[in-house]
Amino acid sequence: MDWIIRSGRIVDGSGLPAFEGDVALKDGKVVRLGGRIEAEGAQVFDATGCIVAPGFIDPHTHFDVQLLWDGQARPALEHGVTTIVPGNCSLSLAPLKAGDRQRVVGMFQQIEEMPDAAFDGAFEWRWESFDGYLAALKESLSINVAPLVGHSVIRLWVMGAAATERAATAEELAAMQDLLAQCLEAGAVGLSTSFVDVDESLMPVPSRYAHLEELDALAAVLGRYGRMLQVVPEFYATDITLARVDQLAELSLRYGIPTTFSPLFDSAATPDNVPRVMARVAEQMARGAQVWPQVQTRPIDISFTFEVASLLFAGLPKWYRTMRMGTEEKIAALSDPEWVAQLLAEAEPGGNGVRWAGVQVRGGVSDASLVGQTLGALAEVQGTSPAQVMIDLSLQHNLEASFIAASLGHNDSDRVGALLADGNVHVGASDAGAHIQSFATYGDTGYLLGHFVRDRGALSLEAAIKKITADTARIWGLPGRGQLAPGFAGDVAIFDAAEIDRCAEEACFDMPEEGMRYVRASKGMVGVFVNGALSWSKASGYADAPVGQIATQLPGAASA
Amino acid sequence: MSEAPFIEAAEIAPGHDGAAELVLFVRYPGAGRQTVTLDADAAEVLFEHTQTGDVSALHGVPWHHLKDVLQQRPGSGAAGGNS
Repeated sequence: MDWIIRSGRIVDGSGLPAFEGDVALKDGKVVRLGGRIEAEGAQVFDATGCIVAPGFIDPHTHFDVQLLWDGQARPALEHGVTTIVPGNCSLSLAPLKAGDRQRVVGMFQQIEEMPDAAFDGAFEWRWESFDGYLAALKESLSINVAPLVGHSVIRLWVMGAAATERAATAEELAAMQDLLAQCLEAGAVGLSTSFVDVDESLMPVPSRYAHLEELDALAAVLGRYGRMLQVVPEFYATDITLARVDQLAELSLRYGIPTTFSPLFDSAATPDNVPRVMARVAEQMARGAQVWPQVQTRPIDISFTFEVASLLFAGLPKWYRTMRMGTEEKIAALSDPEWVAQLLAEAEPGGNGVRWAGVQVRGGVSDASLVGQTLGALAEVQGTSPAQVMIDLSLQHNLEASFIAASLGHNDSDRVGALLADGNVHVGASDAGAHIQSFATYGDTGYLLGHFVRDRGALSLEAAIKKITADTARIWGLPGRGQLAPGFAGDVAIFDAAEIDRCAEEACFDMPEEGMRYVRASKGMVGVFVNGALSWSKASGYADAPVGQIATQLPGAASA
Repeated sequence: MSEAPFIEAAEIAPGHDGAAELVLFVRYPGAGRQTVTLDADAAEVLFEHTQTGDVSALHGVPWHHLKDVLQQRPGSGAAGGNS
């Protein structure tokens, strides 16, 4: 034995009730579990009082670039995530000809908000093919990766500039099919496409120029390998999303492939959206189609500054008019007591500032101690009103003070909890590694296990863990992962069920050339094993364990 | 009943990407209803057109009228934002 995880409460991912015992790992795999296990020379990880579960699988990430300089995909690993799926939303870093790199960088920057430095000097860009990209990843990979290949880059490879001009010819379609097959042979877990995303010029990404015949032809190739089709539908319009569910169902049935789409989130503004989509999903699933809606666990926060006119103020005409002013005019207006009095009267009618009291200071302020404090708390200390505090902070910081209105959407815990528990829902859509300068996309599993399992009882612990481990592995066709059973990968998350959660969001400057992103640390997680190696622990932090594998292959079949 | 689709209601809602967005509820003749979600840039075009920052000013406006305004903006046709 290499490791014995001692005296934990084992939730094995199958959905069966938890049981007490040890878990033994050897040569990267689980070899025994349950009861007392003794083995001379084995290292022991004390899991007394903790849950021992399979490592979590995150099916919707954009870690494609970050993995090239951070093979641990921080901070995903410390949240217990041991396998990630990058390459979502039609975008991957391969296959990609050298001459097309800048175009794809622009798309990634638009979606992921990565700084230029992330692409310029942080890694050596020496691949064009998909297997070349995987080879570059594997040099320092500490987390398992099941990469999608992006439809947009496949189109770009075959059609060049015409990828964003027209439909493909029959010859181009055949070439795309061949290229997709090569990627799947190399280890891609499937194909991603998007009907929504835009590039840095706000023009549609290449996949959006494809005709139906093109997606059908590519799905036929996926069918030969039984691989996944991931789609971003027009999620902002229920009726179009319903049509996409039907389209995916037909492709799934015709070619015997799993499909998944995201995002799907609950909104008080459109409360019938989720029920209608889920009803259609249930109809199609009952026909035998696999159309998995991915649902995120975390609520939606809205962040804003006074620099840009956020629609958050669109219900307040005086405020919105002020926000749309040029910078100098805006500062002058916010410095005018008479104008401000009108703003306050509109924002806090009758002096009632409750609407803004819960808004938090997020950043852009000289006094770091203000970050995380609510406007209500600051107003109380200063003897003023929340909206006045917001104005004052903005003026003091040249309009660069930023604020966050937390939990404004996907925030009805009863509705979201029931949705997450639905047997047809695929828990995912974290978007980890994307939107990095807007909000933190990490810790969704901690939020699931803390808020929805422990605090609300929306799911049992066993059911929730099954969803983010064995179910995900089954949906995506990841052999030998997602369960604690002899022969399965030694991917293990060990956590305190009473403590598991995500920490508060914080700005972090760990991107290349000290670029900023928002992150969340884990809470309650005590140890994470990847392929049998202790890769992170609460006691020692991240370990230098480049044991990550390409998860479409059997554990142990490919070693970094 | 109106013979043309019109904006029955408009609300500000949280977008999944952390930005607020504008949701228009379009009522069609025959009782059909559709939601149209617009990002901040598109909403800005409508607010400029109505000379207000008030969502209530959009109530009752014929949908075809707003659609024409949106289609005249630079870069129109690329509905949606990013996933």
